[in-house]
Amino acid sequence: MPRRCERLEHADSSTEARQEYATRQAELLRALVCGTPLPGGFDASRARAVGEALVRKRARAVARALPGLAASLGDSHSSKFADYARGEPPHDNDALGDAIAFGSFLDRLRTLDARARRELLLARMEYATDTRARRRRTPLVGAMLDRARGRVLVAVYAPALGVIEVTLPFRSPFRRQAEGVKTYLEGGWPSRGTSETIRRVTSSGSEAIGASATRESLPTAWLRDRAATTPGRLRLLAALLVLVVLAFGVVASIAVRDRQQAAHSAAAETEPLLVQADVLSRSLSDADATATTTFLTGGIESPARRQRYLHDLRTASAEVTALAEEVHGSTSANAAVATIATKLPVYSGEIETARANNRQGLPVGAAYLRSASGLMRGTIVPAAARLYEVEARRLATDYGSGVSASAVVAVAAMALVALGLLILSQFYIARLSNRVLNIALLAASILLIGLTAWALTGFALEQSRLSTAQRTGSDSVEVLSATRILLLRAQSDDSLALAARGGGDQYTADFAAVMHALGPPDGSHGLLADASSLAARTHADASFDDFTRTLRGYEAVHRRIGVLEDNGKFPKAVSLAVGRTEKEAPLADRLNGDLKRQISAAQSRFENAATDATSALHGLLPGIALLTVGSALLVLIGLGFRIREYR
Amino acid sequence: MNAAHGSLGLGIGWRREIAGLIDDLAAAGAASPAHLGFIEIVAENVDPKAPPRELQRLRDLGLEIVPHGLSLSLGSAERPEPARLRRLARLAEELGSPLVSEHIAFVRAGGLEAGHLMPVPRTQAALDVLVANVDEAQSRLPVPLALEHVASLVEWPNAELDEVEFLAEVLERTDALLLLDVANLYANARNHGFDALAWLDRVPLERIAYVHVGGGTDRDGMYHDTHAHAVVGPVLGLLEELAARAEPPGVLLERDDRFPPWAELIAELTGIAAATRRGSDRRAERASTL
Repeated sequence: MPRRCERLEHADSSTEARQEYATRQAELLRALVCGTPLPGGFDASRARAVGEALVRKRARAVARALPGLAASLGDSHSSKFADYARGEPPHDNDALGDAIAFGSFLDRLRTLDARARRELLLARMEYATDTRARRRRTPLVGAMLDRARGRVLVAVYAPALGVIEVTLPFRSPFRRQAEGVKTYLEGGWPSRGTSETIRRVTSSGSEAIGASATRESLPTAWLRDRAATTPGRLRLLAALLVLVVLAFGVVASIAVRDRQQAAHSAAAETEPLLVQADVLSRSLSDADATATTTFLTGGIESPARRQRYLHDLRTASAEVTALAEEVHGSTSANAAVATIATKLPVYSGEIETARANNRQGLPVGAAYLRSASGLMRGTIVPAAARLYEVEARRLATDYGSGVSASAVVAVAAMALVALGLLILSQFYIARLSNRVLNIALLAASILLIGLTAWALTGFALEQSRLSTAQRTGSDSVEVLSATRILLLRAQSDDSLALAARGGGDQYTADFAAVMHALGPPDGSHGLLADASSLAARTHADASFDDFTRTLRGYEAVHRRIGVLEDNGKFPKAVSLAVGRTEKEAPLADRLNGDLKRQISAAQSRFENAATDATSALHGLLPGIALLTVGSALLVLIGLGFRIREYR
Repeated sequence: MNAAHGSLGLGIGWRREIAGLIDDLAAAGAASPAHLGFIEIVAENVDPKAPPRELQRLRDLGLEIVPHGLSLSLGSAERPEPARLRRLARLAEELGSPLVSEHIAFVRAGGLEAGHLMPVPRTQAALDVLVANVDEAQSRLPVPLALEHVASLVEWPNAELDEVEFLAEVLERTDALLLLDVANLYANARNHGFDALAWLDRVPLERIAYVHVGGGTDRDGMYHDTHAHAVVGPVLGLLEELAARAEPPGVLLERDDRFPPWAELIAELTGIAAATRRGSDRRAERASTL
């Protein structure tokens, strides 16, 4: 506590006469307010009466400034104030500063009850007293422990809103319900200082923060109270505007996060699963095609083909294991994974039996091969296809939420509400204060408009990039991998028909059905038509043309095999089917290779576009946080100025 | 008789606690039991940048607003602080005030605040300093300045002039107006034992801007001018005596604390108006008999 009585400042007087006069005035003043010896010539008893009257006057002013403190001290207020005032001369027309200093002096002596401490805390939160009591310009948080009632009082001060206080009971959980949480948005006239504020608080709440008080301050009564005066209305308006601006921030953040998650999920989670499901289907089909083709060569099997078959099986079981861990959540996907995992060993067992019989020239080998291939094509590959479907659907969902209009609508609607309210407020305030512009509110509006534009642009960019990812990437991947699986199936059909030695009509029919599904190489209809239009869209026409040329060659070879087979020339047909050059198997391999390249090209197009989509929203989340908090602060500043005009 | 300027009428010191009463009285206008013509605000309590809207409403109702300063400390050995003068000047401009008032007193010295209006020594030297300070204040104020003599229990030793002589000389040399406080007059006459009526006879009545009436109480044989108690009879008597000598351009009730029920304040205001009227009637009577 600055003991101003202990120092004597020298006045800046222009003349010596003034200087001497100043010293005499200061001596008299110090005698009256600090109790130092009275200069000669003055009446001592009258001087004492003046000093006492002065302290009484100060005590009254202090009691008006902090009535709760005075009430809690009761009759001892004036004597305690007199004790304090002896060491502390009056403040310059600053009863509140005097009162806060007095209260703090008593608080340090630990002589205040909870009611007085609460009033003191609220006043100290709201007013800085470094020179004289002034409303703080910065937010502040304070707390107070009320042992007697077993509660903690937490108060938050915000410049435009006043003090908001919350009491948290910590001792008796049974009383907690009755007490509840109270908040006050307080303010007042500085001339009456906090006194009026506090009086309002004290009369409605302080006795109690107690159980009955909560019922008294019903929300409607609370609102009516505040709407009764212009500063009250401005305070409510400030609170509403801040809420709406922050709500806009929350809605926009949620929308951006949803979109980001959808784009991220499409790019980093679902699409890789789709690729895995595709690899699984393809490995399974390729294993079967390789096994059946190899079967045709009889005892002398190509080591390369054998390796390829084994590699396919290993890949397939690895993918199944990986997918089993990733597809949790979807029951049909889980069932599909279980089917593949249990049937694949059965399949490979039958293939080995078929091989063994075939090597010994036993015709029963072909029966095992048919049974195995039937299991593969009838059960395992369809299960893999289901898995693929599940992932494809998930990807479609991700795309859907990644481009969903609801986010845009929500953000735009909230922006309209917030901006509308801000603009209306500006009209209201302009009418109230006869000032056309409220710079801070205008700035807040501009910030919000900028933020909305940024968010909507971000959404539009993300949306367009995500649809690019779909149109040029994942759509191609899906069509091309379906094509590849069908081609592998056709290859198996061919081999199985040959292995059946004339009894394979069902395979011939299946081959025709597969080829029909693919459509003619010219791309007029069927899957190849889709692939062709996708190739045109992604400027991959050249490689697609290569592919269709090879496909035509493949079909020509297939027809020649059919003719040889029909004429009973099986060895020749087999050699054409599995031979080294310009034969069916190498052509099928080339088709496979082509498709593989195209798929991986589409895959990388997808990845790039999906990454771009995610980056379209980069920086938006922190931007939203920063700009909405910024405009909320501007609202507080803008309205704070108006509110302050009422003091 | 209003040489200084136009009539202000009946007034009351505007305080937040009685703003509602003042609003009601002002709105009722001539139909009100106490027809207000002006109010006084404590200059230190009103922010010139954002005066309370109630004041604007009162102005719209035709009331004049006089800023009444407490902290210029014109009686200080130091010169008045330019920032305080600027603030007072701005307030007068914002409120369209016809004049401002301050005290012949000092409230701070040697870095200390008195929290109280302290009297100045009634010597030629102190008078010179006071006149210089008042001149400086007047040169920075956009409207006339009225000076109020204060009530004080203590007096400086070795006075060279009596109270009226000192006051008259200050007004003479500065050309300032007089804010005559009949309660302060009563308090000083009682506490220092001089004749209040003789004081009234000698004071330059033609310089009166308006008159203060305030309440007080007896304590330990002394009269204290508290503005927190009812106006005592002898003070109203002095008001009547004043009005019998010259028509006061305005009479204002000061009440700062322990506000009574509104009916009591209204009764005090009507009592003040009645005392003024009684004095005026006596003066008219005397004029007609001459």
